Amino acid sequence: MEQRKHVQLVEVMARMAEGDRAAVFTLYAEFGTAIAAVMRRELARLGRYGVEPDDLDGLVIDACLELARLARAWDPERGAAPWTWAMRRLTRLASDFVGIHADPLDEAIIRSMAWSTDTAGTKDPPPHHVLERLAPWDPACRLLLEALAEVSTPRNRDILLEVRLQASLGDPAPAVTVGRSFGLRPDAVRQVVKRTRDAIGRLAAEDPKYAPLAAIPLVA
Amino acid sequence: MTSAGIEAARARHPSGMARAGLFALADRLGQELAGEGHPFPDFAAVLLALRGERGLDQVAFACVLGVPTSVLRALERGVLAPSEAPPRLANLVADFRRAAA
Repeated sequence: MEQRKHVQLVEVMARMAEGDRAAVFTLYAEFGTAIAAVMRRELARLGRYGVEPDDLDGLVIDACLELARLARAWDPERGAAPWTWAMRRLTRLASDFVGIHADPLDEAIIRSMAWSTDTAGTKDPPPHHVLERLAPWDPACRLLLEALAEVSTPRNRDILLEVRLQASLGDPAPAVTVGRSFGLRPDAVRQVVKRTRDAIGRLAAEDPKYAPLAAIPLVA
Repeated sequence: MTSAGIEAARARHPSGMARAGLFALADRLGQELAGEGHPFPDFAAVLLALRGERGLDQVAFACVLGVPTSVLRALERGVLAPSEAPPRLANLVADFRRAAA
């Protein structure tokens, strides 16, 4: 943050700490954009993309009022912006919003996605198949699939997704596990994962369409 | 262009959208003040919004408006009723409310 803005922020927080209720409007007017970026990122971490502007603005207002309540405890000497310092509180606001605004469960979608109930010899579908089945209903899955198609080969896509899946299942050495399936050394698997994640990250930075992907755990 | 068209264009402009947020924040603060037992929460919330969007403390805002700081302070706290507000301040509040409607 440039020095002039930082000085202004310190002053606004100090006024809120002293109990000046007007200062929250200054915080909103001057720093609302930065706070909105934080809330958008937290919503994306929770899998919520494309929030309506009015709803996002409501969250920014919630965040500003929360920061006003916490202002006395913020120390500008620590170097963190108030919305970074109070991240847990802001994450809870985003989480509460997602919880309240969760889409209702659609039984028809679940039935249409049901795989065979015959468990004998059943193999789990590849992760990209799961994403493809979810894509018609989940914009985040659709966006990720499009990004992977842009920046990677199908094989590298599968390697990245399998490593992520194995890691989420608690595999302590996912590169070893996935390497065996693909006939690759673990180092080679890790290289593929890093290159593909970096490529998605660059795409998210350069193309606004893919910007929401910058915050997802697979990429961040 | 009609005045309705001008207002609609103004609302679409980024500065208009930020103002819409200030109206919503004023609403929220008004609810908080009401919950705290403030006698004139909506009026006070608008006063605070007007001062806050200009980034001014009470002394500076009162100076800009040409009203005594003590009067501004009393209106913000609810010690003075809105009917006692100096005309210039009352007009600003009325303009804010009209824009918010």
